[in-house]
Amino acid sequence: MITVVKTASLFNVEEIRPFFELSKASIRRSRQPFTILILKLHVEIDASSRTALVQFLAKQIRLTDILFHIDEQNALGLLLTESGASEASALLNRLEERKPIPDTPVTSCIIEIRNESVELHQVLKLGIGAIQEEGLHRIHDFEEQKTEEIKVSIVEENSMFRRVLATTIESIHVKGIELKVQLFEDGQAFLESDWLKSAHTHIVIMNDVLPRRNGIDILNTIRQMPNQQKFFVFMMTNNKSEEEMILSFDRGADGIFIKPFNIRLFEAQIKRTCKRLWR
Amino acid sequence: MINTIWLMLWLIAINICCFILLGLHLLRKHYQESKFNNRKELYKERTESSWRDYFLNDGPLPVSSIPLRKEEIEGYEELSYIYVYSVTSESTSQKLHLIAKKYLGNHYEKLLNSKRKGPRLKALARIEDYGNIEILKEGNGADKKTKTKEELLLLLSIYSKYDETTFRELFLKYESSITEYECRKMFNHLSKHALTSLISQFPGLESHSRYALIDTLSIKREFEYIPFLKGLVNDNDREVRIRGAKALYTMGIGDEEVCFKLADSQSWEEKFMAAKLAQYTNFNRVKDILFQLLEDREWKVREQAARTIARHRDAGFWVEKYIESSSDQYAVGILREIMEREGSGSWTG
Repeated sequence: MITVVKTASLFNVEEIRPFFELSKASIRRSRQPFTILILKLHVEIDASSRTALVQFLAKQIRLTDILFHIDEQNALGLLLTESGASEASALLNRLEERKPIPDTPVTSCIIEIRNESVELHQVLKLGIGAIQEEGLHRIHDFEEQKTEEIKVSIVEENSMFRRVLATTIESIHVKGIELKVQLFEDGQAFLESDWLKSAHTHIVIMNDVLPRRNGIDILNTIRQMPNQQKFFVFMMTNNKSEEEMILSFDRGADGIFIKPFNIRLFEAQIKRTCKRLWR
Repeated sequence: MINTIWLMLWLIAINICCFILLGLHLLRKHYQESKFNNRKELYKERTESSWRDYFLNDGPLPVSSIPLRKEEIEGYEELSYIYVYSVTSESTSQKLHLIAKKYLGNHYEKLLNSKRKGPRLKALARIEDYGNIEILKEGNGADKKTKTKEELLLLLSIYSKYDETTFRELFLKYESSITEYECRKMFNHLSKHALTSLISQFPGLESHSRYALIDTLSIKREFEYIPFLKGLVNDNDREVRIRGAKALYTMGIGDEEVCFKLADSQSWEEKFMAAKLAQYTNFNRVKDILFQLLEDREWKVREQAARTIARHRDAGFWVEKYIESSSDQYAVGILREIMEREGSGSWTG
């Protein structure tokens, strides 16, 4: 049995740079922002109290989080590699409730990072600047993320219905995401197209009954592809049979729209799928 | 002889003329049809986005797109098809109804009064899509004496969606000409109130309507129907008892009394349903009948009983006991096999 023992490791700024670069590099692929939290004590404390504080912080954070010190500022930093600003804020509240030195005023600054081109010194400079004044600070300067292109395929025989769905999808606006729509009138045309062969996240909206290759057949083909995880497949059907729906979910459908469906519901579901991509 | 040759020549000439005339007529028809289709496609192209905006996005009524000529009406019907059968919005059906009532009423009235069946059926189908049943109430529908089966079915389907009182009257009048499948399709549109009213008339309904009603209730999954479905176990019709049990099973309702009653039956289908329904009840209360069904003559009943026993978490002790004491090696065999394959974690074999 492997046991992980958590020790109160305290890094310096230079030591955390590789972790910062690693977290930055995985922002896009894992669609996970990370956060730096800077805490500053406004009173001088002795060495033993400082050790107790470090031990306390080490206990409160996750194994994936890294604790570091910023010497000249009497400040501590946390590199939260798998947390966004809201989780960092929740952590701050927890720390506030349980802090070992009750009456010590602490200034904190939350910096969420979604931007891949930012440098560690830029982040720390702004953070250190903010904690000079008491209170809780939030820096938004590095939250601007690169626009991600998501492919949307509509596979439907009826051309007017295809256009209605395309217009609806083109009207969806999600921050940081651009939807590229392509229309197909039969299953074979969709499976043979080059549109399918790319690393983009791909939302497929298709009817269960289609000419040449039917929807369930396409779903099976998609789910057998090595990169099948990038596909979000929504089926449209006239069939209200629960068995058929269970079968579709078993084969890997992410959602089913029973016709006639409300276009607002459709829009909301596609929007939600896009928003869920980023944590 | 010469006269006969002349006669033959005349006949050939007349035939050639007839063929030429027929050809010209067909060409003219083809030209008219392609012109009609072109105008229809142009109308669709011109109005598609304004109708989409009106039906789905709360856009203004596109007055200039309202269909007036025959090809425009056909184009509108094709465009509106997707707003009836594929996508809707909050008020799409009201808007479809409004257009049909206000602007297309005369057109459908003419079709309804046509001597040919085709136009009449077409009008009824569109009335079913748009819900403009006011036309039918103006002496064009329910009270008309000459109705084909297709018209009757369409009328019933329309009323099942938009006027349940007329549906009930018409349904009871023509019940014998409708199949079970057609009944089920229509019942599916009915509200809880209309279904409850049909339940009150259940003994008087013909058997195919009764079966369709039971199947519909099982799909609707309303708690109000459970006492009625449980009561069906005492019906004289074996099919009603089986379908009633199937409906309870679909709804996930278990009842020991129903299980006991069905397990006592002579037919294997009812015993099979008893074994199926027993999975929703307390094991200790139904274990005796389950072990009894495990030794039934019909293997489907035995297999189902074993499957139900395997699904009960607290069956392990009783299974051990049964295996030790039973002399029915077939029952023991199937029970062992299913317990190993599907049984709860407590079973060690």
